[in-house]
Amino acid sequence: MKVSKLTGLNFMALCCILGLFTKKLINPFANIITEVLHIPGGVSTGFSIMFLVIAKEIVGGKSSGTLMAMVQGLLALALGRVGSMGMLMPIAYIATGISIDFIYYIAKYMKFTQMERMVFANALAALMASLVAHILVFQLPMSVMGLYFVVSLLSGTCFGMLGSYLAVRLNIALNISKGV
Amino acid sequence: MKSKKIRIFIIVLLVFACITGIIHFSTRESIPDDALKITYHNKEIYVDIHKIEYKEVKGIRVNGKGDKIPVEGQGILIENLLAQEDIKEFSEIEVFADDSYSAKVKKDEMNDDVYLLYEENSVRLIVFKDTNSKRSVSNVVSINVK
Repeated sequence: MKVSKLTGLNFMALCCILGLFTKKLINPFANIITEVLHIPGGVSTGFSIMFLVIAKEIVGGKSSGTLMAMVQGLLALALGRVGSMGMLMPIAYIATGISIDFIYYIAKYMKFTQMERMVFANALAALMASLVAHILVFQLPMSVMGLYFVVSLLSGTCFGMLGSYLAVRLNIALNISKGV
Repeated sequence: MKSKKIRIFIIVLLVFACITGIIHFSTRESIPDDALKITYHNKEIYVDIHKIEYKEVKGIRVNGKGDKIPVEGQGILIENLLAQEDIKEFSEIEVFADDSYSAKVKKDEMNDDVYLLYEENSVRLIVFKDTNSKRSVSNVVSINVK
């Protein structure tokens, strides 16, 4: 789906904001899962990354994922939403952005379908966010770390599928509004 | 779900989730509810968190957003808690939460600033002088004294 440059940038900015602020919506649900599994997180990240992947899918662009992630990281810093990572928080955001761009780059050669590239991009980005959090903050023992990473991948996969469903509907809506 | 690749990916992840889950829960140390385990020189001491002699604590802690939050409640200086268990000579403690998150505090940082704050059925580590929330550990279940 091709959208105009300005519309695309606006949509990317909207998705950055949504990704940053909607995480809190599913935190109570995510906390139930993490408390049962006795892991320090890894569920809600996939949800906030989903918006970046949707924007990447709709708008396209070579390094739009990294660009959105950098904006998100700077916004998080400016608004003080830095969590335990402090000033290093943007590293986690940028790592997710680079992962999204990487999957979209290899998707061209591996002939992924729309759902496949969105699911794999979301899953890898969620894993990268967890990896950075593990290195910078949690430094978990091996036994917990394994489960933490697998849960991140699973949540990234589930929200990637949801993102793919939403992207299809958004494409239809954009086509209708354009009168295609 | 139409994609075979995604189906295989999810199955592989579920298998890994089962394996890592089994490893995690079989190696995880089970500490009784409402107990705080203190490990010192290979000796394990269990303290009932409801029976600790807390005193009134007031101060300001920094949360994950960097906001300063006034703290008022019941708590105990970690040094005092350890002294009650006859632990006086140590260089560092490592505090573990139920979800394996941990934070280290050196003895020379404990200038009346490091507390265990009593919350609903759990205790929280608070280092009042800290400027971030890295060492604000909720649901503390064990303390490793070195």
